[in-house]
Amino acid sequence: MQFRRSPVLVIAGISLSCLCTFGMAWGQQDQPAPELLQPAAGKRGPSDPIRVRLINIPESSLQYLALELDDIDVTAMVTMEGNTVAYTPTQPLAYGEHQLRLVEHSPDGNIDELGEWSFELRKNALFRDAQLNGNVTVNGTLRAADHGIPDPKPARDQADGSAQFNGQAQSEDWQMSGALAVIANSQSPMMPRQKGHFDIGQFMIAADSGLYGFKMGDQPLGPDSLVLQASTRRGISVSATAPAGKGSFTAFSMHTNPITGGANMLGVADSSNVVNGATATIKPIPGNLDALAVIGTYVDGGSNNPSGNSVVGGFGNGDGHADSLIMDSATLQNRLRLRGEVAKSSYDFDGRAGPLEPYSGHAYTGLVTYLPLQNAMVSNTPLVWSLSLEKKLISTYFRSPTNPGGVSDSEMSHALTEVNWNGLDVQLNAGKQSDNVDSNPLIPVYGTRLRTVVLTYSPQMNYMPQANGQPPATPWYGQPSLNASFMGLNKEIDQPGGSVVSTGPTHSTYTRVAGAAFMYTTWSWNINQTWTGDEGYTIDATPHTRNSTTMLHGSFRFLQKLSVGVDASRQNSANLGTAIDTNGTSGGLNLAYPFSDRITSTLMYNAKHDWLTDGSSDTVTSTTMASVSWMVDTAHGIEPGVTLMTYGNYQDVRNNAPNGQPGSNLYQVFVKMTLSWAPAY
Amino acid sequence: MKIGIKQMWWLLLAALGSMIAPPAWAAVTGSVQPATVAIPLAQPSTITLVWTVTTSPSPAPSFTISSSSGQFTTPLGQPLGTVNTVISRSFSGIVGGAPATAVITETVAVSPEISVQAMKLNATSIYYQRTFTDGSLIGLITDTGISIGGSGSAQFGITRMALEFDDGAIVRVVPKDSHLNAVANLGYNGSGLFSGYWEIANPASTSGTPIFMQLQPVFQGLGGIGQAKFASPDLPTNLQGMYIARLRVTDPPTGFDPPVLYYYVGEPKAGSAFSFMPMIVMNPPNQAYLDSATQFVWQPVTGARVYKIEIYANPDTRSSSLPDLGGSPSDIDPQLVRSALSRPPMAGMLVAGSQTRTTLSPSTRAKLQKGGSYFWRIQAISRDGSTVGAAQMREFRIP
Repeated sequence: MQFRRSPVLVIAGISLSCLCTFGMAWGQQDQPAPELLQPAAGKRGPSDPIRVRLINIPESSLQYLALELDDIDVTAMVTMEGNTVAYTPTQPLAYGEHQLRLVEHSPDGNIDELGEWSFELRKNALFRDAQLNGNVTVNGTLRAADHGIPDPKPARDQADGSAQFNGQAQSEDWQMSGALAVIANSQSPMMPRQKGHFDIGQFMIAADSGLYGFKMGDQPLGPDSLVLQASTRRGISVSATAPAGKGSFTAFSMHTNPITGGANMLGVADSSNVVNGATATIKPIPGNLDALAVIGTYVDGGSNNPSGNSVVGGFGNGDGHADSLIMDSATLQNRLRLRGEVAKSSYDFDGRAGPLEPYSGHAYTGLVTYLPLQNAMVSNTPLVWSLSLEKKLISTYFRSPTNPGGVSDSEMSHALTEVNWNGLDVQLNAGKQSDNVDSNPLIPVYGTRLRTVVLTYSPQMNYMPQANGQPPATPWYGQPSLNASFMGLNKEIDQPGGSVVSTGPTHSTYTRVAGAAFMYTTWSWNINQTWTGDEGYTIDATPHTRNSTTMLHGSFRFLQKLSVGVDASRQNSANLGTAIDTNGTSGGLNLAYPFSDRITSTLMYNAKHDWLTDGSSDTVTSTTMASVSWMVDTAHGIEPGVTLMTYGNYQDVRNNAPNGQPGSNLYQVFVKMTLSWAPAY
Repeated sequence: MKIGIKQMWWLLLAALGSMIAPPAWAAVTGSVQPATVAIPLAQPSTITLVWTVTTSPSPAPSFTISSSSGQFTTPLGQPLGTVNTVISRSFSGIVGGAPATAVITETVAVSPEISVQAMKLNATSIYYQRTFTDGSLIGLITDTGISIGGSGSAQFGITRMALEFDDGAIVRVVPKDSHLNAVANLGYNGSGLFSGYWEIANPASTSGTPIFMQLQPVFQGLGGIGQAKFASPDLPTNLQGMYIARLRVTDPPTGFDPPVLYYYVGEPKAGSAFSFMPMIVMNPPNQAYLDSATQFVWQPVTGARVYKIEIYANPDTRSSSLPDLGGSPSDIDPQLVRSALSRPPMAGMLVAGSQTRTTLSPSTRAKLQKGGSYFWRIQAISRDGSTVGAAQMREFRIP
C-alpha cells in the first residue's frame, strides 16, 4: 500500500506539500530524527493518540512511509496534524510494552528504518499490567413440558453454570498469569466426571522472571517427537530460556493422561499415572538460529488407566522410559530441510506389578525436503516444486509413555513430490511399510504399498470493484475450489512365519475422492463424492465391500440476516460376500435469524434413514430443535447480563424392520434464564 | 395301557427330575466366527467376533443366554488375560423347549500385554473363550483362530480414540460466538473405510435428556501409518449453556461408547458487538502461494470502520514428519491455528472500512520469509472498537 493512495494520504499530502520545501532527503546524517511525542497528560492511556513528529520530509518520500504498531501496518488510519503523524488506536491497546516503527520503502525495494520506539502502557505505579477478569454464567432451567424421555427422568428444575477467570500481572522483569475454568450442574451425571455438582475444568498458573519460568496446571507439552506427542497435560514444569532464543530447557512432571476436575489439581498425586521428563533445545549457530536445532527429550512414567470421558482404548497398563535426540536444519533460504531423530525405549507392557520384564525398543527417522527451483516464474506466476524423502523405523517393542497413540513395529519409506502453479497443486506420494521390524522368526512379514495422488485447483481471482462502487462481483461460477484424490493400498505377505506358510497378497483398499466447492458473495455450496473398495484375500477374511458416499452442503445468507445451512448425504456400502447392502441417507436444515440485535432464533432439523437391503434393519430418525433467545442486557462489570430463552426439541425414531425394536418419540420444552457477570479489574 | 399308582409316582418323579436335571443330550453349544483373525504383537488391537450359541432344549419359555467374561489363553491353556464384559441375548415365548440360537457380536479390545505374554511363552496363536449359560446349563466355546503377527497383520479396527479441543483441553468455557473446534486422534490397525459422524447435543437438550444431532459426516479411507486425526467442523457456540460433542463411529465396530467433550458457552467476549457477523473472504484461496499482486478480497460488514488483517507464523513449518499417506486434501489443522494464535501476530495491516480489497503493504510483505507458511484472518472493527465481524483463519504460503 502506498501512503498517498489511502484517504489519509490526502490529508498527509496537503500537509507534506509544505513540509517538502525543506527539500532534504531522509537518511542524511545531519537530519534530526523523527520524534515520538509524549502524551499531553504525561501518562499514556490505551486509546490515546500516538504522535510522531516528522521533520524535513521530502514529498517524494512521503508515499513510501509506513507506520507500524506491534508489527501491524497502521498507515491506513494515520492522520497528519501539521508535521506530526498521528494514529489513534482502533481498539484500546493492551497494557504492557509496545513497539512503534516508522519505515520508508523506496521504489527499488529497499527499506529504511526512520525510527523505532518502544513505549509502555502502565496500569499503575506498582504493576506494568495487572488485570483480573471473569466470565460467569448461571443458567436456571425449567422443563415446561415433556413426553417419552427415558427413566430416570432428570429433575424438572435444573441449574448449571460455568465461569472462566483470567488474570495477569507483570512488572519490568517478571510476569504471572492464571486461568481457571469452573463448572457446575445440578445433574451430577452431566458433570464431566459424572459426580458432584461443582468442579474445576482446566486451569493453569504461569510465572516467568526473565529467562526462567514455572507452570502449574493444564499446559502444553512438546515438541513432537517419537517419544512425545505434543498434547496438553496437567502437571508442573519449570523452564529456562537462553538469551536471544538460542535454546531452552524444560523439566516436567505430568499426569500421563488428560484429566479434568479438582481431585488431582497438580496432576501428580497418583504416582501410577505420572510421567516425569525433560526437553532441551539448543540452536547453536549464531545469527542463523533456524539453521540448526538440536532437541533432546527424556521421559519416564506409566499409566494404569488411560480411559476417561475423552479417551478410550489405547495401551492400557504400562510403564517405562524413553529418550530421543533430534537434529533439525533448514538452510539455503529454507529450500533445504534436513531432519533426523534417534530414540530408544524400555517399556513394561503390564506395568511394574506385572510378571513381564521391560522390553527394549529403538526407532529412528530421517527426513529431507528440497525445493529445487528458486524464484521460478511461469507466465508471471510462481512455480513451486518440492521433493521430500522420509525413512522411519520403529521397532516392535518401542513404546513411550508420552506417546499414547504412537505406532510401533513399522519400517516405512515415503517419497513425496508436490508442484504448485497458479492455484493448481499436484501431490504424488508413494510409500512402503513393512512390519516385524525385529525379525521375529515366529511371525510373518507383511509389506504394505501405498500410493496417493492429490490434485487441488483453487485459482486466485482478479476481483475488480464495480463501477457503482459496490464490492467486487464474483463470476457466475463463484470462487471455485476443486479437488480429487486417489489412495491405493496393497498388502501382502513378504515372508512367511508362524502359522502363515505362504507369501502373496492379502488385502487391497482404495479410496477415490472428488470434491468441488463454489463460493459467492452471500452463499456457497460444495459437494464431495467418495468411493472406496476394500477386499481381503486368503488369511485376511475381510468382507469384500464397495462404498459410495455423497455429501452436499450449502450455506446461504438472505437479507443480511437469515442464515441458512443445508446438508444432505447418501451412503451405500455393498458387501459383495453377503450381497447385503447397508444404506444411509440424511438431510439437515439449520436456520438462524436475528429479529434484532438482541433477539435471535435458531431452528435445526435433521433426518436420517439407515437400512439394510435384507430388511433386517430399517430405522428413520428425525430430530428438530428450536430456540428463541432474548438478550435483555449484557453484563457490565458486576452488573449482571440477563438472557431469557425458550427452546425445545423433538425426536422421532421409527423402526420399519419386521422384528426390530418398537419406535419411540420424545419431546422436551424448556424455559431458561441466564444471568452472567463479567467482572474485570 | 393301564398305569398304576406306583407307575404314576414314577412318572411324577421322572417329570420332577427332568425339571431339575436336563436330559443327557441337552447342551449349550456353539461356534465363533471369523475362523481366522490376527492381532499385532505388542500393540493394542480390536477383533470383532460373532458368537453363535445354541441351547437345546430351551430351559424355559423366557430365558437369557449370557456370558459374564472372556478369557485369553495360550493353546496350552496358560491364562493371558480376562475381558470382563457381559454379553447376552434374551428369549421369550419359546414353546415346548424348542432349541434357541443366539447370535451375539462382540468387539474385543486386545491389550498389548496379551500378545507380549503369549510370545514370551513361544505361542504364535492364542485362544479366546467364553463360557455361556442359559440359566441351567453351561457350555464353553473357544475361538482358536487368533494368530499373532506384526503390525501389518491386524484386521481393520479402531484401537484408540482421544478427543480434545483445538487448544488441547478436554473441558472448555468459552464466550458466546467463539471459534471452537474439536479434534479426534485415532489409533487404528489394518486398512479400510472409516465412517462416523460429528454430533452435538446443545443446551436445548442437555438440560434434560441429551439429544445428539449430526454436525458433519466423516468418511475416510484409512491405511498405513496407524494414526489419523479428524478435525470437527466449527462447533456451535451461539447458545449459552452446556454442549456435548462427540465423534460417533459407525464403521468399523469399536466395542466402546464414543468419548465426549464438554464445553460451556457463557457471556459474549468483552469487545464483541451484539450482532457479530461471520465474514466471507473471497481471495486468496486457502493455502495459496502469494505474490506481490495477490489481492485480499472480502465482503463488507455493516458498521466496520476499519478492517484488520492479522498474519501469524505457522508453527508447523518444521513438522516432525511428512503428511500422512491417507490421500485426501488437507484442511487447516485447528490445533495449529490455536497454537499460532497463542502468540501475537507477526505482521498485519489496517485497511479503511470503505475498502473491501487490498494487496499486502510493502512493510507487511517484508516480514514474510521465502518458503514460509502463514495463517491469516481479517476482522471488522467498529467505531467504538468492537469486533463486529471476523473470518475464519486461512493459510497462505510464500514461494
